[in-house]
Amino acid sequence: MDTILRDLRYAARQLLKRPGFTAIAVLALALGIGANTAVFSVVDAVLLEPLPFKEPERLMVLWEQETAVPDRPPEPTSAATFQDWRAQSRTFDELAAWVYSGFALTGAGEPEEIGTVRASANLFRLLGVEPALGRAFLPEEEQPGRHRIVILSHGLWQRRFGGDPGILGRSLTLDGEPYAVVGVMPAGFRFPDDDDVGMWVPLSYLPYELRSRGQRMFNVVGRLAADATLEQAQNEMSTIAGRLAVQYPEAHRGWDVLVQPAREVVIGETRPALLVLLGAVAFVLLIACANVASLLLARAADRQREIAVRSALGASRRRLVRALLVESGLVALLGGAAGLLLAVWGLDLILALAPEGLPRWNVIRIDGDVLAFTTFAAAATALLAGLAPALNASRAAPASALREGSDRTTEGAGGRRLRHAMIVAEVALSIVLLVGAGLLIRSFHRLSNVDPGFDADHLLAAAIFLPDNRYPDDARQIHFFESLLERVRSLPGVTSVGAVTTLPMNPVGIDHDMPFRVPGTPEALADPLPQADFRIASEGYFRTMGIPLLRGRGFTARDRADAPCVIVVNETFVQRFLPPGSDPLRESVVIGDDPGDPACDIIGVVGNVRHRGLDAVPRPEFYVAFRQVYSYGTLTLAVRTTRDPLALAQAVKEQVFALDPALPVAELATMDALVADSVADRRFHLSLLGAFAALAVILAASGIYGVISYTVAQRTREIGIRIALGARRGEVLRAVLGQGARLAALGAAFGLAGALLLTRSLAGMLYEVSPTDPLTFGGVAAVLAAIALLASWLPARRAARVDPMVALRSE
Amino acid sequence: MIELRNISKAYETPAGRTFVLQRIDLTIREGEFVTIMGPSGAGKTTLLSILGLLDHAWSGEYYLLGHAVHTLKPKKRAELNRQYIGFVFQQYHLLDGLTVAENLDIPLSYRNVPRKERQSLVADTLDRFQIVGKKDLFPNQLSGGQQQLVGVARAVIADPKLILADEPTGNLHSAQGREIMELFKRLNRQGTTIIQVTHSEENAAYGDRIVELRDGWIESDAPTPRAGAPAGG
Repeated sequence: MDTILRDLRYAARQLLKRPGFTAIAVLALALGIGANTAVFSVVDAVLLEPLPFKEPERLMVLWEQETAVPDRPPEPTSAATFQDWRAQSRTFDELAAWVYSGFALTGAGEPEEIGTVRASANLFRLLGVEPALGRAFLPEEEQPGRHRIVILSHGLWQRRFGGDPGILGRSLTLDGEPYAVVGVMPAGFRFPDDDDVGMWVPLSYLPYELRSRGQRMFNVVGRLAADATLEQAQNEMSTIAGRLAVQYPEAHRGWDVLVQPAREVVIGETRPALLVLLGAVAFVLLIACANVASLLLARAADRQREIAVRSALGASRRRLVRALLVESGLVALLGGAAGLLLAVWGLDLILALAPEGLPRWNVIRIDGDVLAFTTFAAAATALLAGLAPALNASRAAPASALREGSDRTTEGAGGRRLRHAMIVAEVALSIVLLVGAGLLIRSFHRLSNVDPGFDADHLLAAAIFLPDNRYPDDARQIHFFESLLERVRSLPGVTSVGAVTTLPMNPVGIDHDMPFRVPGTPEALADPLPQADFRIASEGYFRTMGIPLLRGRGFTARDRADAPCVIVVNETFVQRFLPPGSDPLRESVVIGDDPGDPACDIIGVVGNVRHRGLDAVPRPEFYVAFRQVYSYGTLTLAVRTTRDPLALAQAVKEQVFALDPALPVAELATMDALVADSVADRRFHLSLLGAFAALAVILAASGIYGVISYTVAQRTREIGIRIALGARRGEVLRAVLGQGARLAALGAAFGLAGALLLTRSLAGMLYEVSPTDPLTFGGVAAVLAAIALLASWLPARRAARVDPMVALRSE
Repeated sequence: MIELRNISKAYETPAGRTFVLQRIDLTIREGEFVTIMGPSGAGKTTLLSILGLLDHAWSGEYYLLGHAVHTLKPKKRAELNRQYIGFVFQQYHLLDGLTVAENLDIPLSYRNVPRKERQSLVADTLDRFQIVGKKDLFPNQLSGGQQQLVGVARAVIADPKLILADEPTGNLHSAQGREIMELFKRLNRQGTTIIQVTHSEENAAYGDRIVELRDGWIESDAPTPRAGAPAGG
């Protein structure tokens, strides 16, 4: 212990004596450890921490899965099916259903649309979480008439009600009806994992929800029985699905049930991207280690005399290695501490960049797990960076202590080889990261140049939900939207306005497909019928959005319920479903699978729109006039403006309040922002991977610079002699540059080979770029070659300027 | 104390084998003060390295206090070095980052001497060499003579039976050099065997015996002529 303290003291003194070396080494490790700590804290919260519920590993999510059509995403279920599951399953202690909803909260202040979950009364018991205030729902509160009670989230309670302790029993006006507050959930409780949910109300089914088994809209969560396994539950649910398929073939034939651990559902598709990022930062740390190792090797070479003397004075190899490891350990400790500070700051940055919908972002923080990870990373770093140099240095022959001038000995070939190996490793690892970042950049660039099918510039979006208790029929809903469109159109600064059930790129709204048939085509007889995306739009919508009208006309105010039914289709629809060579404007389409559904004439063909994201392949779509169909009670306004769209946001809101003071405007955003949000995931991955690659390149470049500088300093005398003997300065420059270039080329070869193997893991994050894209690989190699040459050129120039007389005298 | 039988050391070079030492036979008894002399390249320092168990690449037989060194593994040889040998270097080779007291402590710590004992040994030695006032100074704050004084103190602190000194006064001016040589003489009288390498006839005069090397061979081995010996000491 005493000797370790002595080693520590000596190491501290050594580090203080060379503040430049210490600062560079600590900084390199701090960057590496900091980036790792920050990314690990995200990985820890998102992937590793258990869900914050009782025995979370037994929580399962149940889906319906269409097996007849390949690659269909699993879907929620219908109310009737859920009730069958509940009655028939034995492998679950409990099942609960829930569905997203929204209520306009009115009364105090501006009306506000509050994201709400309608949930089975047993949901909170199933999750094992009690309200912090008040009580959970009672089973009888699922009965219509008794269901007007609400539980608030801690956040909403604080924000909207100032954390009023007397909130229990208070009546809130939701969609114009009184709801009694019976509870407040604890801070940090989230179900589902969504920032926008502020309230829970008991799930009492509306009549239409019980009508059809095809209305798959209820999410189901279950608690596995103590003696049941996931496999048993899956088998049992598949058996139940088989029974239902016999009983209700029209709704259940070709459908199975999928039982999935809740954790997997929450983490979703985040896992591969996070693992790629974790891998990338691990590379950064390895590069930092290689960097510090080569610094330590150079330092050890300078300290050969000291090490030889110690050895001559009786130090065993173990003692020497230990002393050197204590030194690298101290560097790693300082690096770890500085890294932790960087991580705190970096984590804020990551969270600021993180796309909406990053699961569990609310629990991301630097906690005990993360500290343990940082400590481990620092210890591993100390070993990784310190062991090879220490072992190599401790090999110094003690007899060299006796040689005259031995403090200026050139280091052995072993040290040089190791140092070169470090450079090769640094370059190789940076190449892998650069290629990864390059591929993401190329993807992002391609994606940014994709034509979304509309013009996002100067467009404002505002979503309106009409509560069905106050707008119970189509006429009232249509009337409201007609009046609103009229009012907004007349606002100064508005050039045109339109409305649609869902804007492109918008997570809010109604977006689903619908069966249809084109009379006279073979598909018209198919079973099941083909499906296409279905949207309801107002007149002026296509013009406002800048969606090109390719044939015919768009909707007008004359396309009313009493006029002939008309639809507009997109290009893909024409190509996919209309007979080749036919005139679309002479065709009609029957919407729905009911034989009595009317045929609607195609009056126009519009360009394709990438509704579900820039990377989504355009799907066949048809639009119907909003006055002609059952209204869904919601439309999103698109407003084209002459000035900053957000400057008109308040004016649009005021028009809504003028028509209905109790109506909130749920979503007010510019179309540009919605497009940007739609690629937020990609931008997040790109920013992080790009930052890590930049860090890697800086570290690698400083590594090359350091090693070549060191070599030049060591060879000053030799270079002086060469120049004295007639070497031209250009030759010296070339020789030194050549050394850097050789190392970089070797590193690049390893790096490109490694990248070929590793970029496959990026495939899911790329868009129209192959993971082995030759342009990216070539470009990265060229960039790195340039950087390596620059990093070697600076010391090479110094070498070429060596004054032979000074060099020879310096001995 | 020391018996060398047929010790040779050679380097392989492209031009063939180059001998640094050839068939050295040498016996040194306990309590002797031996000087090794010879021109540059004669093999003096190499011989000292072999004697000090720092160099393992040689052939022949070497007995040190009854241990057959040539049969021992390097680790065992390092143990013998710790047990019996102290070194004094021409360049002093004090460790820059350590104070005088810490430099003295180094050989003790490598010999796993308990802390209490080390402290008292360091204190005694500082006292004995009259450098108590310098104990917290760093080597670069000392003159060359003072540094070598610390170097000798460091060599004797672990109470070696044998001190090996390589040109111990090579970097000192004559007054300082004499002081160091007097010190060696005193240590020798107290029983420590001393082997020094030197070019200086004056330094050689402090010893009992001069071994002359030339081209790796022992050219002569004879008692120091008493005639030119300095008075006193």
